[in-house]
Amino acid sequence: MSNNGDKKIGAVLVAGGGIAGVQSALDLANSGFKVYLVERDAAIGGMMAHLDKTFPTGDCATCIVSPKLVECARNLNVEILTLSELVGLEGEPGHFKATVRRHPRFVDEDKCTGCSECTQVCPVDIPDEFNRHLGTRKAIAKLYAQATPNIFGILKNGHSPCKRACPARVNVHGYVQLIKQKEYLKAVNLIRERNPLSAICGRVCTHPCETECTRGEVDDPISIRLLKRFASDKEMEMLASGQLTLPDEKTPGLDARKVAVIGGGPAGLTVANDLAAAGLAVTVYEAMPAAGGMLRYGIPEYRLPKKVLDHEVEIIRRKGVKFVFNCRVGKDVTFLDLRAKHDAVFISGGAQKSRKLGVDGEQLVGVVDGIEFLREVASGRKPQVRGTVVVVGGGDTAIDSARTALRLGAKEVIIVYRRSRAEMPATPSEIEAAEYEGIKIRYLTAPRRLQEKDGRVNAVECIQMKLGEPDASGRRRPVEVPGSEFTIQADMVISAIGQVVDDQLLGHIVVKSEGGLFQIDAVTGQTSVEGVFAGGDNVTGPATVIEAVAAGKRAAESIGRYLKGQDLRGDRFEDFLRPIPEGLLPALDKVEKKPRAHPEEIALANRLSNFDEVEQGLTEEQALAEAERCLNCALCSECGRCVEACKQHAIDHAMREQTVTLDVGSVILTPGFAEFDASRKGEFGYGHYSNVVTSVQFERMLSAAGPFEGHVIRLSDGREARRIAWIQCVGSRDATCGNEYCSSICCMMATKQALVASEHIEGMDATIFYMDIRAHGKDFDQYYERARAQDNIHYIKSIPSRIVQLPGSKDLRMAYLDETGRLAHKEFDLIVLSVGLEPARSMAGLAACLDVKLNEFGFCDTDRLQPLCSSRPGVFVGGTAQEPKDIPETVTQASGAASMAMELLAPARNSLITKKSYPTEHDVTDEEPRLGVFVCHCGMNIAGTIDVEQVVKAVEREPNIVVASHSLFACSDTSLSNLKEVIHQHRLNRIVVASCTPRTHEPLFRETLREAGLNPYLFELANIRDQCSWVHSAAPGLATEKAVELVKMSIARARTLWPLEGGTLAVDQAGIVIGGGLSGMTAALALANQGFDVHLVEKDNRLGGNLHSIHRTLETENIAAFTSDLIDRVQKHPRIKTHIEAEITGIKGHVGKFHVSLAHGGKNAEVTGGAIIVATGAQAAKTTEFLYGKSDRVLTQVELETQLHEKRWLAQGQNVVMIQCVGSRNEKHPYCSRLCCSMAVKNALAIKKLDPNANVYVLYRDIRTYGFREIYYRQAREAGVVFMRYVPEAPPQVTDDNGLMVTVNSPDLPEPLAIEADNVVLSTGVEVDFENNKRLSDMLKVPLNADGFYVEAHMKLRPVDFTTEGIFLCGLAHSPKFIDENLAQARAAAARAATVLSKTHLDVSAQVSYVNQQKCISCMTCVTVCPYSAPYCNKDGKGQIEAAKCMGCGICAAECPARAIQLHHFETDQFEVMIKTLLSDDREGNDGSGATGRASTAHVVGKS
Amino acid sequence: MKYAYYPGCSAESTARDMNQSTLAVARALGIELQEPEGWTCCGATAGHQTDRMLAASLPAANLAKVQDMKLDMLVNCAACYNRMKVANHEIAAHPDVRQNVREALDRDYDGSVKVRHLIEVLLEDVGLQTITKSFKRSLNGLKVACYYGCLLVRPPGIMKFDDPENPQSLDRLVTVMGGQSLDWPCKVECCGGGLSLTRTDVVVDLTESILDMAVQSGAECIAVSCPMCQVNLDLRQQDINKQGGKHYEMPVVYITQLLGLCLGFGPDELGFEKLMVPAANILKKVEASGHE
Repeated sequence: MSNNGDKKIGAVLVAGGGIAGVQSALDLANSGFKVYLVERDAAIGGMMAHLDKTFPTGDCATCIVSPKLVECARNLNVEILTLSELVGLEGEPGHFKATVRRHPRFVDEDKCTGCSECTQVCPVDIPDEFNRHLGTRKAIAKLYAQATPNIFGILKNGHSPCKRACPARVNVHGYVQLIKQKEYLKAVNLIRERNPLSAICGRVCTHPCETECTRGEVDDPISIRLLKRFASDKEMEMLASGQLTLPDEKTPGLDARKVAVIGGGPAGLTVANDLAAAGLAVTVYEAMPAAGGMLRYGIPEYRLPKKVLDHEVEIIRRKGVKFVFNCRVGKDVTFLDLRAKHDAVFISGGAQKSRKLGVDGEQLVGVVDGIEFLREVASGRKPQVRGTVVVVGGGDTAIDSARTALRLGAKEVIIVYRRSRAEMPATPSEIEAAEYEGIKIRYLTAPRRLQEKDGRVNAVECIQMKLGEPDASGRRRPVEVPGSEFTIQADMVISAIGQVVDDQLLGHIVVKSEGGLFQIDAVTGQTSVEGVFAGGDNVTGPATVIEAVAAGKRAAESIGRYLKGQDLRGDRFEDFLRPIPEGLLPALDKVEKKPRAHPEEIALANRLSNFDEVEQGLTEEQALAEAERCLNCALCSECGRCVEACKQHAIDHAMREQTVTLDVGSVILTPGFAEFDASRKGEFGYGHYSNVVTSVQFERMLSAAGPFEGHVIRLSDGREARRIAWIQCVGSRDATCGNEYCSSICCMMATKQALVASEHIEGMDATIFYMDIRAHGKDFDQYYERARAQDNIHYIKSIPSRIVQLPGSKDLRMAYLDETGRLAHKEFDLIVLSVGLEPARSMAGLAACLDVKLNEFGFCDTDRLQPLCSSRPGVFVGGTAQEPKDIPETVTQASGAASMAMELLAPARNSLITKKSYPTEHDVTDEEPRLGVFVCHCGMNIAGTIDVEQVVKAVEREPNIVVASHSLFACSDTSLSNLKEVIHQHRLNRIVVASCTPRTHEPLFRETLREAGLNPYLFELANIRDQCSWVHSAAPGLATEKAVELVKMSIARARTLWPLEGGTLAVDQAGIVIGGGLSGMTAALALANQGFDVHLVEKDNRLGGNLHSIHRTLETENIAAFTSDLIDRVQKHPRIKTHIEAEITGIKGHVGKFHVSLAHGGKNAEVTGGAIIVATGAQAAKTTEFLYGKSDRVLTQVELETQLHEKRWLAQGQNVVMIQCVGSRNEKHPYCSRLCCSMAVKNALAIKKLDPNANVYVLYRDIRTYGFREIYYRQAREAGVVFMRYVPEAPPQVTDDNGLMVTVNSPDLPEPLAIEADNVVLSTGVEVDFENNKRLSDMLKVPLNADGFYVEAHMKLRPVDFTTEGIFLCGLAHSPKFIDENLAQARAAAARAATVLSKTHLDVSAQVSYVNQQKCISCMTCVTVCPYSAPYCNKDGKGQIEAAKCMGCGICAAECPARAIQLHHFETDQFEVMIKTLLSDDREGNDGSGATGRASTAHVVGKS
Repeated sequence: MKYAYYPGCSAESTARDMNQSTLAVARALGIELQEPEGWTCCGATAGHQTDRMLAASLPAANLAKVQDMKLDMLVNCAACYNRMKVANHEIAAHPDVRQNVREALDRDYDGSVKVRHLIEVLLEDVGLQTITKSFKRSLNGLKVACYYGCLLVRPPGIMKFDDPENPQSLDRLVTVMGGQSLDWPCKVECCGGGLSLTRTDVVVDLTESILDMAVQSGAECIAVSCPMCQVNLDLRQQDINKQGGKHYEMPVVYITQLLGLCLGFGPDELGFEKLMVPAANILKKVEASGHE
């Protein structure tokens, strides 16, 4: 889409996929706009998906939200971008370019079927963030069971420190996890991907990985080297026992490119291994008679047995590597020759020459070179060793020589080393082992001369050293101590002070060298000569095995690329490694300390006479315990098990972050909220005391899909919690943590949790500690009173200051002030902290990227008169991102924000949407049923329990079956394409799929039928997963039998199916708004701005309603200007036709076409429209209490406000007493009027501003200044307004016997207080015109509640809809609310109405009821029972069903006494035939035993 | 490492053992301490409650002296530490307080002297590694309930000493000493401090609940760093036992006394004889560690 010109872009980006984002997306997509729904998490659903139940309806949160999520996922015009975030927005309203960063899921969304095979094999358990760390999840998992999209994803933090510390980057984390799962061979294979010398390094590696292991910060690093050895030894054991055979020998192809490897040490072997595996012809030229280099000729057998080395060399050899032994380059073959005969050369000749001691006597008999000595021994010769042996040096060669000498019969072995122990380069464990074996080490000792006797060495003359200044190596330089010479007797001296590269080799090979080492490119390993690479000791000087392997890996990668003519540098293996960002490493404070495993060693007595391996491996038990200690730093270990398990090949560990740019006309921000971090309130011990949980954790506990399957337990001991306390306002209404606002929802959440927990736990006792109970929503107060009336739920108005955990029991003791103000103590099993709402963690970044202003608390800044607009034009906001709020208000605001976007982009409506077209339906009317039956394995979900092949066999011979088959995933793209093909090929006209559940998958299959040219109602789904394999997993045989029966029933029913056609009806694209107050006017304007004609009907003689009596709000001074501007805009709008003083006399019609009759000053008129919005409002309640009407000094708040506004209020400098809840929250009006507390605060502040000396007393029950209005409550207290609580049992008394007097008996005061009042101001609340509402609701056929407010379709998720389609609701007619809430709701109603009005035609469902006119007995039962008013009495006096209104619920069909009503697709005979099939006795013959031995396959068993 | 050491009045009376052990520990760890010439009372518990000016001026008189020494002030008494820090805060934040202090002291003091608690110095300046290396004996698994009281950590905004709800610094010292620091819930409960003499009944109630919790948690002793806490918890056990029929015999020792033992000092060099409840069980354990 280009944004040149003025044409707006008909697409909207919705940032945040919680319920708000989902609602906005659906409203927009359903009224002609393309939507990008951008969600940070792996699935949409937001906080609602975490909740167990909702208040006050008691619905299962998941059950009500899931359908919306699924609808979103299925809507062609909603593109869901999960794991994505909006990071930039450029342009102007109508033409934005949005930048979205998409994080990798590592699972292909199009291929994943959600089968869960991957998660079952994943070894990694990590804390489950979704369950707020109550329990764990796998590294590959769905966000939650019902996640939408229903696909898996992998969590990665980067790469573990162990892997990054390994020079060869061996996936340590991965193989440790595989060992944990006892997948030893897989572990060895994973090691060999980066290091072919697994068993060898399991013995001799210096394991830099262990140094970096995070576990080391808890107790000790994991014994990684020994785990590697353990897995490798298991492989050798299995080979030895015949459980495993070596891989077949391979030979490279004749045309394979040739590579020469000089030297068969670790670097050379690695290169040979990798390149041979890649199919190249590798020849290793080795000077010695066997491969291994220093591994064979330097490391003694007691450390590395030759059979281990031989084993690994053999595996490499079998890959096709050719070895040429006894071939010294420069002598037996020339380098140039090799170069000429090969396409590439790798030089790894090692550092084989010993350094000279450089002292007199070095040439004496009995003085040997350490390397030479070890090589002799390794070659099987046994050099003569006797008496005292002195070894000079401090490296591993020195130690190896010393320990070898000891084994060859030396009486005494002394190592002399010129520095101190700290500088000694030998492996510390080796030094310890040498000492343990009795070898003496003389530190700070250097040889000066070797003395001779009888032509042999017989003593070493030494000198004492001391450490001086550090030298170039950073180690302190040894300096001789003058005069400290001494002599050690020696029969043999072994010199082991270091090795260098053979001069001859350096001279012979003509590549650049320096300082006795070949020079290479650090990244590629290439030498100065193209095609010649080098690595290992001849490049680095003597180094470790693993460093040599790493050099080999580097060169092999380069050589491979070189031979393919590719770039050697870009995108190398190393470039993919990412460190784990600071702060994402696992939390260590709660990790239980566990000792590191130590292997057995051969006893000293048994080891010195032989070369048996000293160190034994770990036992299996030790190894498993050791692997269990891994902390999974990187989350996913990349062990590869999921890749192997995924039959769809959906997993791709190499996926990378992407950035996409989207053209959109508008943006809606719905990032939701984050819960307050309870550990910030240390006094409650969250994170420290295990039985203190947050309200969100408690919600997860209650959830049947949660970690404890609905059991409320104590985390300390798993016992069911009985005594439970809630502490309210944790992180809300609290200036100390910066959150002064009220979070609005927690009081109700705690009340709900207490009520729900009562049902879960027998004998539960709940105590809720609160400041004010804020039950200000529709029907909330009634719910609260219900909880309060329960004996086991106690409300205590006190916030405890501290929780103490009792030693032993881990019960929790709380100190608080009781109702009498005395200090009390109470003990609990579990304490729930009702954590407040904070802005989403992403909010600050989002706001910065978008240049959107935030308020002082970090929520999106909005104006009370523009509640849906952010500070940036074209960017709208909905839900808790704007202010803490409950679900209905969130949904309302989200629809409202959608309306804002629709108004902005009205001209671009329908410009970018996709409509699907289908082939013409194939006429099946005259055909015999030709059935296809497809049985799904659902991975192992079904096939793990049910024998699907047997099911196929059992049904394939049923009559009319043309095709019967089974497949791994019937819902995968391949299977669906296959289904279409089979339908064509076999001319199928009925399809039965036996699989998971119609709830999620029926629409998908029906869609496929339509794509194949079949009517979608010719489909039938047999539920053999949810209702069979899952519930009968313990009885597979019976489950298979049941599945057969279920499928047969479905087959029977499928034969009776016939095509159904839904009708369409034309839409009158005008809206009718009833009520001309704030809400009605706003809704009318919203629709008109969207381009629809609107009839605005007002019974009064002017527009404006209650607005005329509001002069100011807490936040805004001039409401009059706002009101007149609004009226003006309505009156001037060309699309709005206003009907003043019009009474509605009748309403007819249905969605798409309503007829509303008006009586207009004696004249009758009729207006028509496709949708109706009810905005009839409410008014200030009347009262006769508290001397109202008897004393002119007793006013209502509205009257006070008017007097203040008109400057008529005169009680200056005196006492004003306000009484709250007058006529509210009582038996007559059980609801809370929501507005009055804020109104009292507003007027009290106004009085205090007018006269700071005035005394204002507010007598209240609970102050309900929710959300940001809380700030004004604080301001009022600071201004000196006195708030005094009263309880309904003892209301204030107002007398006027001797002047106006108010007596209040507050539970917070020791005795009653009498106040002389100059004014008493009554907060009388809001009530509806009951009679008027009743009359109108009868005409609309929509319900009212007991208080006379209209009842919406669903309190939580359809707050502005009615169950009757096409009629919507907003404003005070719904419930009492503030101006900003009315504005949002009015726009929400407009957005909902637009989903109807934006269409020229509406589809009418085919699945509707119809009345057989012959059978109808005119009882009109159907008319009475239908919740949607679809049936009516027709001109013949018979019942008839208005298809446009019918929702297909079937109630009428069930209730009809004459059985005259049938519901299409659910006809009586269709059920009868199923039941008959079930009850018929012909099962035995068809249970599969009769089937022939013909192989049942995964493909079609054709019969035609 | 040199500090101006403010011992506080109790160090010369009820808490001589604290002073004695503090000096011993400092000596062993190479911490040089210099008392400010003519230091005076910080005003804790009585003075600071009665008069806001007195509350700032009394500590300021000492802080000003330390300012002249150009050293950080090291304090071990939690009450003194608290008073010094609060006074610094008040003086720095409120010009009127600073003005009043100027008038009282006849000199200006800006609230800038760094006040350090001994525990902070041990953990931050000396370091656990050095301390551990200096140990000659260990606590040998002694179960210690570390008690911080309220003055050390509160008000958190001013004291900035450890986590105000679940402090760890004493526990870390106990752990390196080879003791077992207990996770118990009364680390920062109030013992009644300032009411010790005026409302003994309150103190008895408060200390009883603390002692009770220590016993229930399995403590073999309580380690403190505040003379007020020490006195209340140590001295009142007798009263509690008499009144409530309890049998508390819980040694309440200064952390410096434990450190002193591990650093090789004898009980007589650390004032152990001053304890009301004898600490024989501690001495026995530490003694045993020396013979390993």
